[in-house]
Amino acid sequence: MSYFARFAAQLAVALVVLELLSRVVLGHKPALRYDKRYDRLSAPNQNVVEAQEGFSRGRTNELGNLDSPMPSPLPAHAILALGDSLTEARQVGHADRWPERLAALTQREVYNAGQRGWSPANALGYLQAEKQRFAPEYVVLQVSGNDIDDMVSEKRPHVVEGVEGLSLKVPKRGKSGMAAKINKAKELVSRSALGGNLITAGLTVLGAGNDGSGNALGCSPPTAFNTKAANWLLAQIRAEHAKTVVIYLPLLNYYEGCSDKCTGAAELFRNAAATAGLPFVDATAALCSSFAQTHQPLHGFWNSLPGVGHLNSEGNDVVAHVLADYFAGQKAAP
Amino acid sequence: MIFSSLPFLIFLPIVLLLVALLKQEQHRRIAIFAASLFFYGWWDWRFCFFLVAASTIDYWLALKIQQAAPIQKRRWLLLSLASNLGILAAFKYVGWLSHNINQLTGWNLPAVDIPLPLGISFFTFQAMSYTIDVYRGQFNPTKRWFDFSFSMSFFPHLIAGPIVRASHFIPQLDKEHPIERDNLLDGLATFSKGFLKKTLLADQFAVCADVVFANPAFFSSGTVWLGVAAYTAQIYYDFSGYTDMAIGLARMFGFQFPNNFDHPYLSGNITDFWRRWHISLSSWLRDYLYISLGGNRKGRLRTYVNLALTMLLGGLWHGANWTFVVWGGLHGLALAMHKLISERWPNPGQVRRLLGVPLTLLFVMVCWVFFRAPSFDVASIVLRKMAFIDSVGCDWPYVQALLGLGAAIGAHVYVAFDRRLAFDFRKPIFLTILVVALIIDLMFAPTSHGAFIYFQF
Repeated sequence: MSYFARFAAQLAVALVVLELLSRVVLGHKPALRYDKRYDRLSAPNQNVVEAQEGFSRGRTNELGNLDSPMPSPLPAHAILALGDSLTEARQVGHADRWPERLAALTQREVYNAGQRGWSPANALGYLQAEKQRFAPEYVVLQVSGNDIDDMVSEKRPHVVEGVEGLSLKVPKRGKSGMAAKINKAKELVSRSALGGNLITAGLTVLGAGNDGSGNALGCSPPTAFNTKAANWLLAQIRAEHAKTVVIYLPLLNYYEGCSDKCTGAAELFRNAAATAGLPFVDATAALCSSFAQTHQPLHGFWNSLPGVGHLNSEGNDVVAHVLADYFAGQKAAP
Repeated sequence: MIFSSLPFLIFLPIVLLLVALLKQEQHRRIAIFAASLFFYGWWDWRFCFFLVAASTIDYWLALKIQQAAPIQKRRWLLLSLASNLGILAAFKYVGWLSHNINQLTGWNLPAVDIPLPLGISFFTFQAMSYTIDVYRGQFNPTKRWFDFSFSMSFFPHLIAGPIVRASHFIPQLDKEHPIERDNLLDGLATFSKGFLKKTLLADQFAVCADVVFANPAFFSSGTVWLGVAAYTAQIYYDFSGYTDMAIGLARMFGFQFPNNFDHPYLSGNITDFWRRWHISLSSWLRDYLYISLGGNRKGRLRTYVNLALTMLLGGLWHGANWTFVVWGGLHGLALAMHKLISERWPNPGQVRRLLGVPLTLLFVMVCWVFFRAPSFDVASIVLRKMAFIDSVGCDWPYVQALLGLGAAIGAHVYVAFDRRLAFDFRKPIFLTILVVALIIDLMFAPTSHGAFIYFQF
């Protein structure tokens, strides 16, 4: 056999092994689909392997959420958790995610509809589109500092101001033209776990890696328009579902006194919740208290930077307890 | 344009193709010279003029040294040394000196912040070795300005060595260097090995070391030990990876560079370590500084002083910071002590042989703390943590660093048993291994690192 024939044969075997390894341990991101009412959602019934931050293996349900099947309507006393990657919590195993832990602590059914890259703007679109389908008793809406930018970003569903006041705008995803062809090609290659990983890695190397997934978890100081947008969004969400609880998950700087990296974000959402008449739960104190006792940051993993990125298993546990305390208080209230 | 970056991986095949297409040696040399200036100018084109001017001065001074009467030779040499050391001092140490003078005297000398030309420490040392060799009569200076400028600016060694002495490189210019298949394959193999050392190992270790050294007080003793071990591995794989890439690149163009590393962490004592670590610098310091100070010819005490002084200055060569001076001083002290011990007890016993490698490695690791820490305050916190004082803190067993250290230890054990780790692209399996390694590299390499540690020196 010639040199190149032997090389091709060996490479083919190696690629098959790498594909299998990707599907089991190295990482497998689900393809995305887009809904014109609330934008991105993971494709349904897909295997997911997270290995860049923490490690977990799972499968999206029939709706594209990383959770068990979601009946319609939901059982009585059910809670629907909406939020971004901090709620989806792909980085930890299913049983370790805060919605799952909250279910165990409150003896309620909790359904995790968290989606990577979502902001309250996606949540509003989702509630408007799907409320008849689920009708949970409670909605828990998770917000964080990065939502300040996300809910007004033109790349995502966002709040716009027109002559008739504020409204929600969902970006149009091209179904024709070059962008659509590129997306189609990406989707095709992404059917292979290895191909999907290589696309992500290649885009990162070329500096185009930010796909608007909210992975960077950055935030800007609030502006007057952000404040207005947050007030409007939470008021609209209350109008869609009155029994909504807003939980704020901070992005903490553990190296400098356990402070929130997004200065002013908690205040902005607390005020917006108060204006909308929604209960507001802030997990900051509980997370910092846990850190003070254990010296272990509640964000970050053994395969990523400590104190940076998403909530780890302990972090999810603290959040679940904070919410369980809130619901226990509600139950005890006269 | 660092060797492991995308622009360089585009630049290299273009230059190789251009040189391969040229039939005449002179044209090939001009093409490589122009490519070298383009490569250097990629950072700051103004420094190309500086590089050419510095080369021209030493070319001219070397000829003057050769032509001068014996009594005059020394003056021309001193002029060359003053020129090179002056350049080095002006760019690298003036700011540091004025800061220290202000601290000591309370004066208010203005802060000087001159941009440092990349590779200045390397090419000034190369130039000095040339004029000193000519002065000592060990090497005849080249009559051709182009040959000397070519040897100084040849892009594979320009930024971070190895320090290729003119006496090693210029004789190679007597031969023709067309692009040849065997050189290309061997060069590519060495380059690939260095590329993987840098991107697959050093950059992963850097993530761990950077985080720990940025906030050592935050971490537990175990994690700080991991951070120091990660830096120990990072600096080796970063610099030896760079050197492999430089050697491989030179080989692709038909040139030979001296080896710069010989598995230094397998050294049985500190003297052995300096025979295996950054060989081109340590041999330079030995030949041009230690011997010039008198070496071991002026009595035992003077030998120890010379050793310590050489290493102290070697430390300072790495950067204008007292932490580097302490790093060099500690190594100098250890070298002097080892000399004393091996003179008194020349035959190492079983215990010394057995404990030699781990104790040398431990000493080297402790010294790296001063090398890596930005200040003595940080170094002190790291050392306290390593001594398990205030040991409580965040535990962070960074998986990638642990896996990398496992691989590094495995590779060292493999090499310790006289095995060789090298690619040979004449066999297709090595090409497959390279492609697989590059895929894994692409998937897991951190994107926030890139620059080689030795670029800053």
